[in-house]
Amino acid sequence: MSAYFAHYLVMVGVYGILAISLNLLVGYSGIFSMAHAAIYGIGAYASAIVALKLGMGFWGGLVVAGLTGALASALIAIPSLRVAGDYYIVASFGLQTVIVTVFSEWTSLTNGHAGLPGIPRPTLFGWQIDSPFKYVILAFGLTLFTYLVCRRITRSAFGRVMQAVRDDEIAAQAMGRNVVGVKIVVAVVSSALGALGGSLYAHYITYVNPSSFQLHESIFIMSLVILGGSERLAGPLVGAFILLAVPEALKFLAIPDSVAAPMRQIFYGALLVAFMFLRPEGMLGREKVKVKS
Amino acid sequence: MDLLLQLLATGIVVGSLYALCAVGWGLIYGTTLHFHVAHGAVFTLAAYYAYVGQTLLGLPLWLAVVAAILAAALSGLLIDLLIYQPLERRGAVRTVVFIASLGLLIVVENVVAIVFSADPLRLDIGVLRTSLRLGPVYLTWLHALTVAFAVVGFCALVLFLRYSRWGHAIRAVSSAPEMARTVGINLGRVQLLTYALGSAISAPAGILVAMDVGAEPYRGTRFVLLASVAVIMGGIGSLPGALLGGLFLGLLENLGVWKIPSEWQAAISFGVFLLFIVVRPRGMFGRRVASADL
Repeated sequence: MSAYFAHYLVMVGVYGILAISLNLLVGYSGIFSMAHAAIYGIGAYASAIVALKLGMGFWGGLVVAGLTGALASALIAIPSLRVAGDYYIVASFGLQTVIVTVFSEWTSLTNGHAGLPGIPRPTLFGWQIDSPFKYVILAFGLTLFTYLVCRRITRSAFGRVMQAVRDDEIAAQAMGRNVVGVKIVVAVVSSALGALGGSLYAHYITYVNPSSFQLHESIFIMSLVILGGSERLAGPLVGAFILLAVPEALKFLAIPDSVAAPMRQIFYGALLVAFMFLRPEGMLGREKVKVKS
Repeated sequence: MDLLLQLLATGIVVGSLYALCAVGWGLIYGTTLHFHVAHGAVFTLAAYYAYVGQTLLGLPLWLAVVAAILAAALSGLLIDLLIYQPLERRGAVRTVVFIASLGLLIVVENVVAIVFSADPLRLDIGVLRTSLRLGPVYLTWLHALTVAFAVVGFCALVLFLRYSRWGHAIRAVSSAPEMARTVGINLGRVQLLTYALGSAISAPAGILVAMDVGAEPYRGTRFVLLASVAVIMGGIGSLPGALLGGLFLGLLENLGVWKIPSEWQAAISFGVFLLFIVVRPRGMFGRRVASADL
C-alpha cells in the first residue's frame, strides 16, 4: 500500500464521517443543510485550538469538537426548524457564511487566512500515530464508530419517529410525537458527529485554514450523500469512496489547476442533475414506492 | 452625520439590487414553491450576456442590456421547461427539484468561470460612471439608475400581476394551484411565464452590479441566498415584502459598517435573520408559513 493510497483512504474516512452524519439529516429526516463544511471546520478548528493553546490530546479534542459542533447547529436549528424545512436551508447557509467569516476574521483565535499550523499527530494509549498507514486505522475506526452510532439511532424507536416525521410530518404529529424536538435533536447529533470528521482531519493534515471549509465543500458533502444514496446508511460511504477517486483520476489528464477545480465542480453538479433524472435515490438507494395522486 | 447619510444612500443602492433579486426569486418561490437556487445562475448569466453583447458583438450599452434581460428571461424559462417540469412529470418531489437546481447552479457558475476566467470583467459604461452629488452624498449616475430600475421594475411587475390576464393567472396559481387548474388555467404555461418574468426582474440586478464592479462567475450564489433571506423576512408570497426585505438587507449591511468592520456584514445579516424568524416566522407581510410538508 503506497502512502498515496493511504492518504486517499484517510480522506475517505474523513468524508465518510461527514457524509454519514449529514445523511441522518438529509436522508433520514429530509432536512437539507448547507452548513456541513462549517461544522467540519468547527470540529477541525476546535480540536486544533485546544491542542495548540491548551495542550489537549486527541480524545479531548474530539470531545470538544463534538460539543462545539452540536452547539453551533443548535443555534440555527432551534429558531429555524420550528418553522419549516426551507428555513433551515437558508439558516444553515447563514451559519456557513458566518463561520467562515469567524475563521478568517477572528485572528486572535484562528490566526485568520494564514491558518493554524503545527497541530500534533495523535498518540493513543502510548501509540504514536505518525504515518499515513497508522492513520488509516484510526480514520476507519472513527468512521466505523460514526456508522454504528447512526445505525443504532436509525434502528431505535427514535429513529423510526425521525423517518415518520420525514415521510409524513402531520401524521407523526397526530400520533403525539414532538416533531420539532425530533428534528432539532437530529440536527444536533448530526453536527456533533460531523465535527468528529473535522477533528480527525486537523490532526491528520496538522494544519487548518479557512479555505478548506467553504460553501462548495458543503455542497460536495451533500453530493456524496445524494449520489451515494441517502436511503441507506452505507450509501454516503460508497459515495465518498467513488467520488473522492474522481479528482485523483483527473490528475492523470494534464489540466491546469485553474481549470481543474471548476471542472471537478462541473462534474459533481452535472452528476447531481443527471441522478435526479435517472436515479434520484442514488447509487445504493432503495427505489421509492410511488403513490399516484 | 455626513458619513451616516452616505451609508444610507449606499444602503439604498445595494438594497435595490437585493430587492430586484428577491422580488424575482420570491415571485417564483411564491408561485411554484421551488427553492430555485439556479436563479443565481440566471443572475450570473445576465451579467455575462451583457458583457458578451457589448464587448464581443459590439452592441451599444442600452441594447446589450435589453438583449441580456431578454436572454436571461429565456434562460429562466428554459430551466423550468427542460429540467423542472420534466422532473415533475416523473413524479419528483420538491427536494429532487431543489437538488437538480443546486447541481445546475454549480455547473453554470463553473462553466462561466472556465470560459471567462474567475476575474471580474469590466463593462464600458461611459457617462454612467460620472459622479452625482446630492448634498453631502456622492453617488454615480449608475447608482441612481439602479434605484430607478428597482422602482420601475417592481411597479411594472405589480401592475402586470394586477391588471393583465396572465398576471391574474399567476396570482391564481400562487394562491390555489388546484383551484386554478379546475377553472382551466394551464399550470405548465403559467409556471413558464413565472420563470421568465422572475428571471427578467432579477436580471437587471446582475447586470447593474457587473456594470459597477465587473461581472464575476460566483456572485449569483451569494445573491440568490440573500434573496431567499429577504423573501422569508418579507413574507413568502408577498412581493412588497420581498422588496422591503431586500432594501432592509442592503441598509443593514451598509449602516452596520458604521460601527462594525465590513468583513462581518454577512454575519450581521444572518444574525438578524435568525432573530427575525424567532420573533416573526411568517415575515413582515406573509400570509402563511411555507408548507411544512417538505
